[in-house]
Amino acid sequence: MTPLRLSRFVGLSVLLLLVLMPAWYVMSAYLAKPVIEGAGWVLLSLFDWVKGVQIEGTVGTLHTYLKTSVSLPNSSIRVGQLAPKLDYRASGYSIVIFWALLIASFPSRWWQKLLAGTAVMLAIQVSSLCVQWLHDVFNRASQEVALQVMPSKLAMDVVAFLFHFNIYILTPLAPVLLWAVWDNRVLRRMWVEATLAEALGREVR
Amino acid sequence: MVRFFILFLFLMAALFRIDMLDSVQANFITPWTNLLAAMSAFIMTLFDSDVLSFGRVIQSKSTGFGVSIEAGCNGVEAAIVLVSGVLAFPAPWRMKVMGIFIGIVAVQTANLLRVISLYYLGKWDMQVFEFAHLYLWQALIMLDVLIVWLLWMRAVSRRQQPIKLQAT
Repeated sequence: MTPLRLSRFVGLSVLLLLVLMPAWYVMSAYLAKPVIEGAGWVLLSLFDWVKGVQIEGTVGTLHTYLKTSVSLPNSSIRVGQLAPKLDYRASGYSIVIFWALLIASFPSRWWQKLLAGTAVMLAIQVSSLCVQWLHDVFNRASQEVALQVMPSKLAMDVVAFLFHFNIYILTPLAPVLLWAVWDNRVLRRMWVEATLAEALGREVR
Repeated sequence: MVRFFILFLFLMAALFRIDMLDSVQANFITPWTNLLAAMSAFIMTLFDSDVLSFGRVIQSKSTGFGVSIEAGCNGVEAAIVLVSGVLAFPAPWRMKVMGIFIGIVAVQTANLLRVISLYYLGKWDMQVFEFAHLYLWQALIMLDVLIVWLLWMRAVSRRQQPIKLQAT
């Protein structure tokens, strides 16, 4: 295993991020399809109030049987079925972080790890979309939706926490953790150096 | 390393939960965000007299165009990840405190760059602003956190090397 210079790794990661992000943006509709369909399938399997998903580009709509009413500007009320939308790209960009880090570190069998890691990232993004849709239904929809779904207070709080934790922290962090698992040379070498030095320092003291 | 990952995830979840509390938002996060806007505007006024800030908003005096710094853009979440990584790693407490302090300064410096660049990108082209705001800078900030943490780990190991020489 070849040693990895930190400065080279850092410079290359940033450069790759700048190059790959626009490319991902252009391709995002193709990546969105399996992720949105996957999230729809998971929710369809878990909840009987889910009807299905509709995909338009990178935007997915979760169709449900949940009745909700909307007040219109002319003071009339329209009754319909809740259909929350989301954009895959809001969490989909994280896959680019994984690509940039893995290519910059260039481990052995890197292209196999790139493909496998991409599949894992897409699965993580499926769970991310599920949490977003659940948050829309449990916490952001109207009281009449809540009466049909009847989520427990604990479920609402857990979903709200997961939603915010996912959007602000886990989405950009997950690819870093995955890279650390797939190519741990950088971390392992620094970890061994640091912990050995700390242990030696404690012995001397 | 397994212990590190478990502790790291636990610390992040705990710190993020604390961050979500209304009292923490009111007494720490909001004042910090306002200060961030003021610092950004101060730096920008060194070369652009058209900028002013009030609360968490940075605005152009002539066009009225403005950006508001919201959750996710004030560097707090990035700091939470970095602090958790430093605290979870086995190192002397003195090094951890230094790592947290210097690390937060480094992350917030990158964040200042983000706020300033997004303001001018937004003035120029909203599509480019959306791309940079929602995707590119989110990724760059996390990369910055990783780089700072790796540099700190290297500093931890190099700090102990004189002791290693004495022992031999």
